[in-house]
Amino acid sequence: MKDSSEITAGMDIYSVSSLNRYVESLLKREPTLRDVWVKGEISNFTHYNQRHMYFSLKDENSELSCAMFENANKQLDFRPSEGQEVLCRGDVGLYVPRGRYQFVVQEMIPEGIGKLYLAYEKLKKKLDEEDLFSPEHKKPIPFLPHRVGVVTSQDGAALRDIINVLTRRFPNVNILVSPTSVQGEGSAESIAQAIKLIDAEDIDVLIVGRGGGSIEDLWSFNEEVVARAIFHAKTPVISAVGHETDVLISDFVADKRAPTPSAAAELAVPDKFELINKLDGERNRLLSSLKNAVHEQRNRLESIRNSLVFSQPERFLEEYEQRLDEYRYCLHDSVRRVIEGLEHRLEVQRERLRALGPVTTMERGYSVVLDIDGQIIDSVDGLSIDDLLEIKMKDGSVMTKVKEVKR
Amino acid sequence: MKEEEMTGKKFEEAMKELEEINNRLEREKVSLEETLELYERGMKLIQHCTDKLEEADAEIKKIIKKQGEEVRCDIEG
Repeated sequence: MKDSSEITAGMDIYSVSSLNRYVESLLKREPTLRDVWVKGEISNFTHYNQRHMYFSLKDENSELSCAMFENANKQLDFRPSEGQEVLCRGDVGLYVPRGRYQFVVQEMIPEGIGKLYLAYEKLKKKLDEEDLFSPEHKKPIPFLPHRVGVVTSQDGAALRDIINVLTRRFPNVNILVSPTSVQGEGSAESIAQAIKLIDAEDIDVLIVGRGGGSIEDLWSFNEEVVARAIFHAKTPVISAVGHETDVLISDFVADKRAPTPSAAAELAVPDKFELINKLDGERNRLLSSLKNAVHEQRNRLESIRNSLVFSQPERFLEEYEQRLDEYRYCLHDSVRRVIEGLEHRLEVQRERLRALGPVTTMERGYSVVLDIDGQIIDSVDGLSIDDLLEIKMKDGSVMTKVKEVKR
Repeated sequence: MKEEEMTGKKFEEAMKELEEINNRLEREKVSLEETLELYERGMKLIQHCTDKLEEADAEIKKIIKKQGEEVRCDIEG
């Protein structure tokens, strides 16, 4: 008998754990085993401690071990039951401690609904690849539409809700409705037609939707023909189907998704009274800014008016009068000095004249002879005996008579 | 201010300009003359917005196709 070491000589020996881990990593790397859908019947279902779910999926010939962990099964909106036909989406993996391959379920849908769901997923993927959902195709919803278009059933509660909300928010709203059947045979085509018909009208925004119902009731809004009609509409479309939790293809392709028809109406028109209030508020702000500005200017004016010139003009004048007096005094003074100068010069001249004049000569002993008319006599010519003469001397004069004329 | 510039103005644009004017008047030192100009502009914007709110005429109609003809009628019909 050979020793085991002889047989394995030169070979890699795996431990059980490492072999299982290796297989696990292979499974994880295999893209066709990731995110796959499996259909089967539930058996051996256990909900361990109300946390993780363990069960098998089986068909006539085979069985698959499944685990649905707490974080995934929390999302379930039904309780899986023994024998139930379901569709599961998940990844193939390996439970290393047991060396057992298993299917880790991320999502589970009851069969029936499951079929629809698969169609939904398929169409969603297709349209997504065609870029129908991408944000750059989204048209903005106008703030204040002139006319709101509505595509829905004429008899449904949705239309009533939409009209109520629209008119409550904006009483003079203009609404154009394009009625359509929203469920049953041919409804998807009917919806698409109604969209095309109203899109040719002069509308600014279009609400497409219906009220709540079963997933089968809502199904038309998951149809390709509706999705394409919404996508090709030139009017911005708000999709509003069913309730908050219902998300349909029409929601992805529309320019905006509203959780309900009423919510769509709220998105379509603004609240008129809110806007009027806002406008009033802005008007008041404008008015008070103007009032403040005028008030401020008035205050400035008031403070100028209160300044000296305006409040006590006489004091302002007094100052000028004082300055005027000062100027007047200066003027007076200089005139006086000019006059004094002139007087002085006059005195000097008088003195000089006096020095040269007869008085000084007479002081030296000379006399002046005047005739009776006061004319100076400087010659004997014309003098006769007994003519009266006046002789002026330095300290007085004498009257005399001519006795004799000598030559 | 040009009239046609106002006529083409969207409600939300007019409202935005109005808010900007008010913010400016409240936050900045603006001369009395400019305050008056901005006030007048603001009042015109308010009038414009008010007009816009009244532009739509209340009407609820439906459009249907009858024998290939497009027919418009009241919603109850």
